[in-house]
Amino acid sequence: MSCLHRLNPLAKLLAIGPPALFLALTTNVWTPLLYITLTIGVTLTLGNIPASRYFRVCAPMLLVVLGFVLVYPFLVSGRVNEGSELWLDLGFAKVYEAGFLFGLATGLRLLAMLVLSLLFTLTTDTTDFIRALIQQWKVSYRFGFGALAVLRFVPLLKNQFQLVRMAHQVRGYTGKGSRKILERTQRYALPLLSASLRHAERMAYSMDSRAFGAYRNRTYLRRSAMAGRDYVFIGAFWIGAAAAALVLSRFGLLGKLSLLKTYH
Amino acid sequence: MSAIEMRDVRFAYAGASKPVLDGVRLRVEANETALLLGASGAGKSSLALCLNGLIPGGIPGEFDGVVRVAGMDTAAATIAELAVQVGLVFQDPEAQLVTMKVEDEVAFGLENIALEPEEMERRIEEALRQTGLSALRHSRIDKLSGGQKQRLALASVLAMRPSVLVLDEPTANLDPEGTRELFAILRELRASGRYTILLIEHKLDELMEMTDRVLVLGRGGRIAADGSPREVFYRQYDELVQEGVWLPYAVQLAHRLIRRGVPVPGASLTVQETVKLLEAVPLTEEVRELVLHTAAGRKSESAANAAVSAETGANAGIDSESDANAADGAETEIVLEIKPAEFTRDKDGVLKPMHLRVLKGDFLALVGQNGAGKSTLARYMIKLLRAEPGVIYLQGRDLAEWPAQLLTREIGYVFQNPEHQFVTNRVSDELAFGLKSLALAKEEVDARVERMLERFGLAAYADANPFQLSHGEKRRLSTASMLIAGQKLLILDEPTFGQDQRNARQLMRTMKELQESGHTIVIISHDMGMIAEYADHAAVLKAGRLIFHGRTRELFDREELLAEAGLGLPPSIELERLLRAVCV
Repeated sequence: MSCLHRLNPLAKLLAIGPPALFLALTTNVWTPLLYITLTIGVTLTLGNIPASRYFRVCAPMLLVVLGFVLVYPFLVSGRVNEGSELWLDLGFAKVYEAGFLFGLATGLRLLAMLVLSLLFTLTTDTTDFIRALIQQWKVSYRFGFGALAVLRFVPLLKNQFQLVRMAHQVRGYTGKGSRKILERTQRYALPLLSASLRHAERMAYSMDSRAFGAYRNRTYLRRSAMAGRDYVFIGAFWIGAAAAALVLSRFGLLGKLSLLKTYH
Repeated sequence: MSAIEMRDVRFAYAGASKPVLDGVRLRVEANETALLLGASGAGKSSLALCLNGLIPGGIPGEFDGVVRVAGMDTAAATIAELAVQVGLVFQDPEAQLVTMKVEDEVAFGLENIALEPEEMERRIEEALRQTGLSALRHSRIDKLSGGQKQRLALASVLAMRPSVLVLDEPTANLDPEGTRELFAILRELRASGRYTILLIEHKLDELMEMTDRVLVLGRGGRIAADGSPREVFYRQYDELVQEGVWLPYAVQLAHRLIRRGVPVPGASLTVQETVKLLEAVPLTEEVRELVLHTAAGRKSESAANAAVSAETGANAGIDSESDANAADGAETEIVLEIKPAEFTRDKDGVLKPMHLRVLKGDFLALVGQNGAGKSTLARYMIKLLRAEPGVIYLQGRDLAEWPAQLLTREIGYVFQNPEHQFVTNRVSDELAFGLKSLALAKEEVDARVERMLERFGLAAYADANPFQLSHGEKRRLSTASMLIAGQKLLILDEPTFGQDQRNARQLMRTMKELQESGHTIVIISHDMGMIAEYADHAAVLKAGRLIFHGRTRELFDREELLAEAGLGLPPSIELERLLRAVCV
């Protein structure tokens, strides 16, 4: 277990919250770039995550960034491009430097958010998180265990879906064609719905017969609480993020801060 | 004071037209182990839910009568009071585990009743020890086998320290090894003298030595038989057959022998007892033959049997040249052949290369532990999973070249859950759907559908919705729909799963008839007794490798191989062994 894995899930959530909010305000390329680099560094080293695995998770998001970069220059309004250098003239559309940078900044901002959230998701056990929410943030335990049951059910449902699809395939039921979408959905939904209801019912029986919900308060085998290292981590992360912002502003790279960035 | 007492219990689910329990009276004394039997749909599970107060406490419906468990009236006691007295284990391991880790699961109930962590610690340790899971305490639940999950479900109720344990078909989803392990734990729990156990099961042979009482819940929602196993199985045999409940093999055998004029003194419940009792009878060669013949069941000499009887006696292993595979294929048509090449290029494929030939008219059983690759292999056979070209051949033609449409006319595949295969809202449409690709005239379609409905006893339900049929009927419908286009090869995944004995037997007989009329049958099953009775050949898989393919009889001669594959001997073969040993 790495340092990050051992931290309280809520501590990680608290640590990444303010930097994420700050990121939402930025408009240029450099702030998200610096945050991405720093966060990835922290996640890989303190979280002991293999770089290859990290990249696999990130890859789809990189495509989204690329999408923004390619599409935005054509969509931004003239106000953004005003006084900017013309890069490319396709006749029907023009690409300005400012428009390109605007797209890049938007894409990178999204990526930075994802990278921050990965610090949490890649190093946190779902059970620990729910346990912490119930014990420390007083989320109702009924809700917490409900969420856990749903999470457990997702892979089962996926499995069921594949079975139903195969079972239909064997019968020569392809349900192809756009007009058949409705019919196909109904045909798949019926057995899946019946399986889900049955599962939910059985799960409820099993929980009830072990006295779930008998008392307003439960006790816990594992206590979830903030430790010294959690506070240290939160503090260090915030200071790091603030320091990065200061450095950027000192070199004049922080750019304009704004909540609304719709210049369309 | 009885540990469990039910007086005139009636219960009807909200919206149901007739009650599922209709005047149940029973008592189970403290520290007894009682078996509850009944046909599928008789209301066994509902009865179990009455014992921990979910009926009437949590499930809507009309309840009447008195249920007392461990001295408490379930209608008056709270869920928490009952939960520490009555532990319930259900059939489906997936649907009763709430958390993601072993330790958390055992703690779940203890946390609900607000125990202190130190006490939890003690109880978790004990419960895991009782169920042989101590080494897995910190494992993730999704990494456990089905058998381990079921033991965990048991551990998590044992930790509540109940005096009454109710288990509702706990081994239904388990393979033979998982079943044996669970039963071994139950035996120890019974021996500890701390528990009253009510067990709903139909794998009876292994349970006879540990059963004090047998209760039979009849179709009318009332207790139809109650007494010691010997009393119930011998005095009310015909009634039980009528009910359609599963019966111990030794009991069925004794009745068959008596009918054939071999007097079996006493009332035996296990094959060991039968053999002992038979020793008292002068065991002439004639009697012995009769017993052996009867023991082997009604297995008929089918076409495939005749075809392969020409084979040399073959100690069939896969590396032996003279195994069932290599049988004179020149004479018998090979329906399906798997050539020893990698199934996929994918490195972590489940199956290893194997050589397997399925002859026309064969009845082949695919056996092995859960996860050994049985279903995967079957899915390759029907191209649900695509093998590389040059691996699987159907009627001599590479499966990769078969168009999907044609394939569904050649091979039928009956899934474990029949509901998955329904594609229409009417029983007769369900059958007609299978004929679509043949482009027949309407009259011809109707005639064929009619014939199939008759054959599978579904004529009365032609207009019903498939989802509203009973479990046995659903299974028959899904089988019928897989035969209607004239499919000659039929693959069935655990066809008798969840069926009562009458339905299971009926289905297997239909399969045997199909085989006799030239169909080739491949079944995936854990039921070794059924395989011994019906299958001509068996293919054993272990961790994706084919470790045996040959005649079913020969499989049972190879004990070390059975043990390696996690399989056991069915009682009929065991009896034969014992009998031969006695006579030598």
